Formats: sequence, structure tokens, C-alpha cells
Amino acid sequence: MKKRIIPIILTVFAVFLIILMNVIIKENSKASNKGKITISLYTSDLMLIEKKTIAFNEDDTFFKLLNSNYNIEMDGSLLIRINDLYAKDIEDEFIKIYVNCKASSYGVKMMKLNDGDNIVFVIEKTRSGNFDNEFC
Amino acid sequence: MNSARKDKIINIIIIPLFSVIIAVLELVLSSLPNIQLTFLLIFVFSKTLSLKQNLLIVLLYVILDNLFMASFSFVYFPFMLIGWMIIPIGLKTIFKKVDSPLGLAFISILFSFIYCYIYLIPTVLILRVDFLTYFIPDIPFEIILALSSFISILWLYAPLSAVLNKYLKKT
Repeated sequence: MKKRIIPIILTVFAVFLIILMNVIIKENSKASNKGKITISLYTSDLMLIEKKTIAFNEDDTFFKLLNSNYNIEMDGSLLIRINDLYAKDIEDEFIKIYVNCKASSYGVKMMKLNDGDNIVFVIEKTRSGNFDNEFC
Repeated sequence: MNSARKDKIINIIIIPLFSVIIAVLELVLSSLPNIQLTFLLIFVFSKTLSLKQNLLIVLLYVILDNLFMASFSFVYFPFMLIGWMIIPIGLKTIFKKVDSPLGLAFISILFSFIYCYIYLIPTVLILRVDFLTYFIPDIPFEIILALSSFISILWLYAPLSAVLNKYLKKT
């Protein structure tokens, strides 16, 4: 039993830290003030199919906003559908996200709302070999 | 059957099997950000099998993982490979003498951060994402990865190693 005390204490501490980090991640994804964002949807051949400006409030999250304004479908943490933009087979295509022209480093569940942000969702072929980090 | 031929057959079975186990477990846990058993399995295999076998397991696993996740990118692939291969290399060299689950659990924290920081190279230098924009929000995820590796190795390393050693002795 004595041998297990240190691992048990360390585990409890580690679990506490994991919970704390999850709270921090959740808090970080909340908007710090009111604002508006513009969301555009593009097909793989770069045809604009929808453009919408959406207002958000303090404490809203990007995912919450997306969920209430669009018909979305997730595969785990991966966005596979947003209205008519649908990555049918994730082995062939996916939905790439750009924030203010630059590729987002985070998925929709982790993205933060900032007033005036211009968000672009575009279908991209997995094997396109396109490493461009910009879309304007 | 001579021993060299037997080793060859074991390798043909073990290497792909272990790679698939790592890749499938990663896929199963993919909905939980940075909660994984990959570090645990690579630690167990690194301490049980040879460096050559481990490097092959990691290579196959990285290919499988990229195929499963449909994320095959030549920007990230080499760095992912380096990030995972550092573990067996480190455990077979500088941490060769560490065998206790507690010691290995602490080492896994170090490897978790190294693994995350390796991704900084392609993200900042090739994809030109701003360093601080990527680095600061990533810290909580890095800590979760390190802690999930720590807990899994602390509790599961010893029983898994015992089972694997028993199985390998039998063969």
C-alpha cells in the first residue's frame, strides 16, 4: 500500500491539472466582448456559395455560434459538413478553415471569436498538395 | 526451424501488429484532444524490443496514422516521424537504465513536450504561422498530452510490459 501512495497522489494531481487545462481551453474559446464575424463558404473549385455576417455576444464560443447558424456535422473533432459544404469522404477531401486569410491552427471547437474576423470554409482535396497557408 | 528464420517470422508478425495497435488506439481516442495511449505503447515496445524493431513500428504507425486520419502531409510527416522516433532512440540510449514506471512516467513528460515542440518547426517555418499565436494557445494541450502520458505509463506500463515479456518468451 505504501508503495502506491506516491503514484496515487501524483495521479490525483495530474487528473486535477488535466481538468484545469480543459477549463482553461474552454474559457479561452469564449469571446471576451460583443462583435460580428463574417463566414464564407467555398467549394473546392473556389466558388462562393454562401456569405453571412453573424453577431455574437460576450461568452459565446465559435462552435456554439456555428451550431446555431448552420447545419453542421462533425466526425470526432473534425468538421465534415457546414450547410451545403460537405466533405463526403474524409480520405479524399476535408473542410479547410481560414481566419483573416490565414489557415487556422485550430479546429472549430477550439477557435476563438474576435470582432471583425473573416472566416472562410473551403473544401480541399486531401491529396491536392496545396500547402498554401493563405486564402484571400 | 533455425533461430534467424524464427526471428524473421516473429518480426513479420509483431512489427505490423504493434503498429496497427498503436494506430487503432489513437484513432479510437481521437475525439478526446491529446488523451492517448501512444506514448505508453511506444514506451513498452521500446523497453521490450530492439531499436531496429521499434523504428520500424514507429515508421509503420506514422504511415497508418496519416492514412487513417486522412492527414497525409509532407509538411508534417517527417516531423511526426522524428517526434515519435526520438522516444525509442532516447529510451535505448540516455534513458537505457531507467526501468521503473515512475521514472519512465516522468521521462514521458519530457518526450511529450519535445514531440509538441517538433511540430513548431513546420508550423512556424514552412506554414508561416506566427510563433506566439501557435505556441501560447497550444500550452494547455501540451500539458494534457504530457499528463495523459504520465498517468498511463505510471499505471499501465508494468502490467503491459509483464504480459508482453511473457508472450515474447513463449515465442
